[in-house]
Amino acid sequence: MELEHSFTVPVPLERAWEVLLDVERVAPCMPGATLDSVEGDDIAGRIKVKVGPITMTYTGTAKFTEKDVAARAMTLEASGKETRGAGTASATVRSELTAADDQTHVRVRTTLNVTGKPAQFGRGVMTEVGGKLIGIFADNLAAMLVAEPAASQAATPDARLESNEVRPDIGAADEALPIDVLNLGSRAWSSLRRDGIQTLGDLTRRTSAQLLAIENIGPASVAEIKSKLADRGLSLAGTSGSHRPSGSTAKAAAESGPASLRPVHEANGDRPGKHAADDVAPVTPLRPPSTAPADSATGQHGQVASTADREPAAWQPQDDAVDLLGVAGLPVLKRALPAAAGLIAAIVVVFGLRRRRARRS
Amino acid sequence: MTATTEAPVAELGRARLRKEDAKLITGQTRWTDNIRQPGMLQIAFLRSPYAHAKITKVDVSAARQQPGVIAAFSGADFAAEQGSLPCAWPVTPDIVIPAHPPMAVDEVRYVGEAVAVVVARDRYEAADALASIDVEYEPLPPVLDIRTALNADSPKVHDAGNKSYEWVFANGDVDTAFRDAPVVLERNYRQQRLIPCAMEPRAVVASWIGEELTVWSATQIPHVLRFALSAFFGIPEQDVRVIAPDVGGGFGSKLQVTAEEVLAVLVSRKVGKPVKWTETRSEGNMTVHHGRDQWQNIKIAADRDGRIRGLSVDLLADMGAYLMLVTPGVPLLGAFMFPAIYKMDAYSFKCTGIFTTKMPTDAYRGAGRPEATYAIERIMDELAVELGIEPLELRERNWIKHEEFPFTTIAGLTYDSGNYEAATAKAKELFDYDALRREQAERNARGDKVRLGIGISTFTEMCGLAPSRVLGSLSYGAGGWEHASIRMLPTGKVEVVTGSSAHGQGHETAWSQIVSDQLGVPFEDIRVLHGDTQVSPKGMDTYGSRSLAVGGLALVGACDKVIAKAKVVAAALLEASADDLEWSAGRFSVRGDPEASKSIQEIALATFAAHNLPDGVEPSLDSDHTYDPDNFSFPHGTHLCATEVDTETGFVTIRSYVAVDDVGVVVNPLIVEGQVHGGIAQGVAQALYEEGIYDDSGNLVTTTLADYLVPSAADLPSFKTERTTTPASNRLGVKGVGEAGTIASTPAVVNAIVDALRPFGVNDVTMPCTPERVWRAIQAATGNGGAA
Amino acid sequence: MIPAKFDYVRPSSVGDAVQAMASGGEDAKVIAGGQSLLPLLKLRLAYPDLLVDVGAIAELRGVVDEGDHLLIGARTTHHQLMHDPLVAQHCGLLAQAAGTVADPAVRHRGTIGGSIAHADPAGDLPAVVLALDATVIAQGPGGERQIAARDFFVDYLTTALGPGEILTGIRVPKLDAGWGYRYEKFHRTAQAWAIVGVAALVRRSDGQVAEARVGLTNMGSVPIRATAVEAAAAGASASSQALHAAAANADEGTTPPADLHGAPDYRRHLARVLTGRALEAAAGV
Repeated sequence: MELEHSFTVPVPLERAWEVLLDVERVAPCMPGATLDSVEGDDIAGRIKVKVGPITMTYTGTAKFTEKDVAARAMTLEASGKETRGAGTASATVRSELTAADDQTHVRVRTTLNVTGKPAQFGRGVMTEVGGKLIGIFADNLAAMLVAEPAASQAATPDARLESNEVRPDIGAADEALPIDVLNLGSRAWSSLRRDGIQTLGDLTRRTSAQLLAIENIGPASVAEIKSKLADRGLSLAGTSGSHRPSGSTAKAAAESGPASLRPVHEANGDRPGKHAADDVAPVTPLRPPSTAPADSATGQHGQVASTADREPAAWQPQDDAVDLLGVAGLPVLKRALPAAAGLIAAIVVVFGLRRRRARRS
Repeated sequence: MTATTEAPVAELGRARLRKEDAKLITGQTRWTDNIRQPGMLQIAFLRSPYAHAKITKVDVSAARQQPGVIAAFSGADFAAEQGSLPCAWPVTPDIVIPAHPPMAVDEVRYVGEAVAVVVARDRYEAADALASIDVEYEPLPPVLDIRTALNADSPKVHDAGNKSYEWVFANGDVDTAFRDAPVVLERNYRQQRLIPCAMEPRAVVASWIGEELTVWSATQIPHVLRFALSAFFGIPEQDVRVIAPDVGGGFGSKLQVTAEEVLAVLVSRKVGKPVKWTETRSEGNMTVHHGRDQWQNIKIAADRDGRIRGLSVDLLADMGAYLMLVTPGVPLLGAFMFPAIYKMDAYSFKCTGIFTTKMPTDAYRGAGRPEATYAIERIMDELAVELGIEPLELRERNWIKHEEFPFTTIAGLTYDSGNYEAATAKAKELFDYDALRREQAERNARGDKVRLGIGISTFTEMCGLAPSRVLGSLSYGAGGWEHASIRMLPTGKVEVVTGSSAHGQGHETAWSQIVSDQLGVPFEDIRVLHGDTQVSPKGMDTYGSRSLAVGGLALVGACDKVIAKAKVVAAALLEASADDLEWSAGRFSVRGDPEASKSIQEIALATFAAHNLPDGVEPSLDSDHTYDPDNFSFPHGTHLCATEVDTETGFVTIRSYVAVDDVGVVVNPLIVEGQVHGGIAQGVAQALYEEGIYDDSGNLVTTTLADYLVPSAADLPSFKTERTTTPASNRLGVKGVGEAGTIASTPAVVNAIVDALRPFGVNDVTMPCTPERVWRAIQAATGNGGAA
Repeated sequence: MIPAKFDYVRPSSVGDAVQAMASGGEDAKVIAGGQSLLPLLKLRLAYPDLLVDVGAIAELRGVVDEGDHLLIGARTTHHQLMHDPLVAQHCGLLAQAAGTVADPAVRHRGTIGGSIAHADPAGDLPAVVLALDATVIAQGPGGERQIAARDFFVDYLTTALGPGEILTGIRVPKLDAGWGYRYEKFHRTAQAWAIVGVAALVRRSDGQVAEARVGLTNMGSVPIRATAVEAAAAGASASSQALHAAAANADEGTTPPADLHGAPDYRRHLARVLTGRALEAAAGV
């Protein structure tokens, strides 16, 4: 099944690009989604959706398989399994960005493949549901992008500073230091090296967008790099200070429910025994949104916080499932009410490949 | 002790109510799902959601921990012992028959293929536990269209490629016929995939006691299944007992050696307990073998006066992912039927069997013959339009005349008898054909929104499978005989043991009628035993409309032997010479002395006592007979269908339907009626309602009866059925009837729809002729391109 | 197939049922005739933890004459709707439409409340109650609530019922003798869902259509009022030609699904043709 959505946001292209690669911001735009882990370009999570009496829960993985900075196209491939054995789903989501002055036009093309029970009926539930859910996702993406704080002078992704232009923050001695001194994870280290980044000088001449474009470097790696640079009083190009946008906009968080981003150990819902909480794979800790759930209803912008001084927000256990209609009225949701049977849409987001035990009662 | 003196009324042709029915309709039945065995466990299968994928991991360990679960297995647990499900019909020497493990081990090739099994205390726990089995797949591209599956760039279902076989047949000079004929028509037709929907879902119980295996199965073929379990899975034949208890319909779908039956046997052996499996309807739609699925190219060459010069057929047949019991042979059964009832000098046929990542196809009511009859009857209508000849007239110009029987067709079959003129004349009269044609002309002239169409199907079919030698020449793996044995009980009652395996056909009633006539024993005094290989040790089971034409004749042969033995005993009892005895209505009498007679019951008792038997005479009248037919059976008929087509919505209503069938001598008209009604219903269903549909990913989307539309009585008109009687060349004069209605009706309905729409320029509507397809055909032909 | 496990209670009053739903939480479901819910359970598309069977609640069944309305209990079966004298007299459309649902076995168990609460756009009764401008009555933790039909159907299988609310009845305005009606259901077999269905009500006055109401089945994710048709029909002459002309916009504002049983363009065409036929029949033309 092929689905296509597009929207335009009053946000410059580079900003949109960066935000759209930020899984932790994108994930909450999918209603009912939970991020379990982000490791480089690999994302794990799940989604539970209810439509009337029908419930579906998919868990799986997603990965950015294309980050073509030049073409402004990114492709996310996701696949997951329904936890109660109702089949599988996989999606390829390709987003193409085009600049229109200070605006960005985003075209999202999704190829969806669903197997198992939900695919074994002739009534058009799947097309409707899939389309609607991806539609909401797209709407939420748009809203989330709009709500983002205006970008500070971000360099265009393919513009590089002249190699002899030294940032004031970095001294000549530091500049020559090998990136090994940062004690990055081996995967991030080898990815940087493969891209020709050998020294801190090389590193600090790149913007975070440029780093994100490197294979196997994802937002978490970038965050780690920034953090470690910041420990040395250094920073990446194109950013002033140690600046990292919050993990989600309040709007997106509200629309998808407070349950959208959760620490892994909380992810199993409020019913004891209903989900297996014990087979959690070791994962990189998430950065939860800096906005507490209580603020979300007011539609405030996400707050900017330094990566160095971020604190995880206090979490309340929330129900996994998002009843797509149970959310207090936001224009986006009201307009495009979901007929999701979760089947399709689930995939689009980020999925955690985790063994799930079936519900026991 | 009885000494019957009353001569029974002739049973042949009598509309006896069925002996089976009282129990069936009051629930005193024993379906396979009702079977209970001590310690019995339930099994449930985990099935592939992918049409094509490598299996990289199957982890059943979590399932084993679930409540009530005794065991769980994956394909790896059976790999060493499960072998391959058999294909008993390798139609060509170089046919590709891929390995077909009952449970997939490394690769799945259709949605629904079994990848794991759970054994639990009850079916609820078994179903729950399936969700906890962890399977990892690497999806592979599906192969879904046989028209492109042989392209070089097509993904492969099996390493050996997607072509299974190519089978050709030709007789006469087809090239010259087509070259020289003034008129040549070519058409392409689609025989859609059908999913058999027997009312009773499939079920199996497997139970081992020591080395002895008992299998209860909702099967049409207990004998063949017993043989297969032994021959292909290594279980000594003498240790295997297969029981088909009450079976609720088959239509070919239960003519199979299934993965579930074999796995139930293996699982039962592994866990040391009886196990039962019962399918759900949606599971069944995915995994019962499917029917039809062909792309047909047919060319006809004719003279201007309508006489057929030659016929050429090229079929692509969808085998599905594997070859099951008779998968490759089904289209070939139709190979001989494309020439149908018509004379011609040249015929060629080619069939290519092709693999896809779908459920395998196999026999389904008609098995190859409905497909053939459809194509020829459709193109005959096309030819009639092309030549401007009345369609019934065109057929009559070409069909075999009554006086010409027996007739050997261009396909090499010798039709023993038939009278197409009589059947057609009767059908026309019953249908009020001429009046309907007049009405049609008036309504067309008026431009009515609802149009009348008249469809014709003059058919014959080859059934009564089959002469063993012919099966051998087609490389079929078994013979076509049937067996019966008769036991005369001391009290004068009769036990009939038949190798036929009824699953709704009413054999108990019809066999009682035949034996009653042959032996002069009352209908009520006869019990017919079948379905259990320990009770009926020998048979070739029921399919292909063979039970009466072959099994009934076996009965007659056995009765002959009983009477011959009885004659010897009667002569001794009457102290007369055997040559002076006359047999009539169950009695032997001395010629010229009617008082001197003995009834068969008296003879039976005397034989049992054995006090006065002549030397060398065995104290038993019991006899059996194995009958191998010398020819197929060729029922025929003329079906006429009137449809009303609402051109605004495409909705088709059958206004009237007439079937005049000639099935030779009729044993029980009620049973024949039932077969004709049911057969027509299934043929109409193919024309209008049913299609098994896979989406682009290979998911079967018609898994429930909400999407796979089986018509009910509310959707069908009252059929008008009549008969002509042209006896067959066998002792009883009987022909088969089980599949005839289905074979005839599909083209009758579609011809009627096309006939209604010809004024719009429509010459075909693809089956099933849904309202949307009918509407679009009109739009396309009238240049509206689908607009309102 | 076989449903997953669930708990089951069978309260004897609406109050008890509401309480049971509240304690059951998000995964509690009401079951009446089960004709919509049980297939979902059996196909393992739904996993309610608790089924609250309202079958023992007598007050939920029956048709009561309320003067200018009929109050139809939620548990009233399709079969009962077909044969109830009050329904026949005052809103015959409901009886006629109920008679087209599935088959007799389903009609003897399926209920109007269940059908409405399930809100399958391919179901017949939602479009009918929408055309009748009925009011849905619900009982919940917050007491009783009345919801107009036009506000009730929110999306596919989704209604305005709040968590823990139970649909207890449907209030239908009586139609006087000036109204004609027709439920035109287009389906391939007798038991199949409607590919498209049209519920039409026409009030005639002096050979003209004074008022028309049209509800569409399966032309979107909810039943839809064909308001363009209603406007065009009002004041039109009660003639075949005029009514078919009014029906020309029947598909306006609809989003017909694409599925095995019909493509959107075919459904739009059907909606137009069938609305014309339904209006004709309702207008007695």
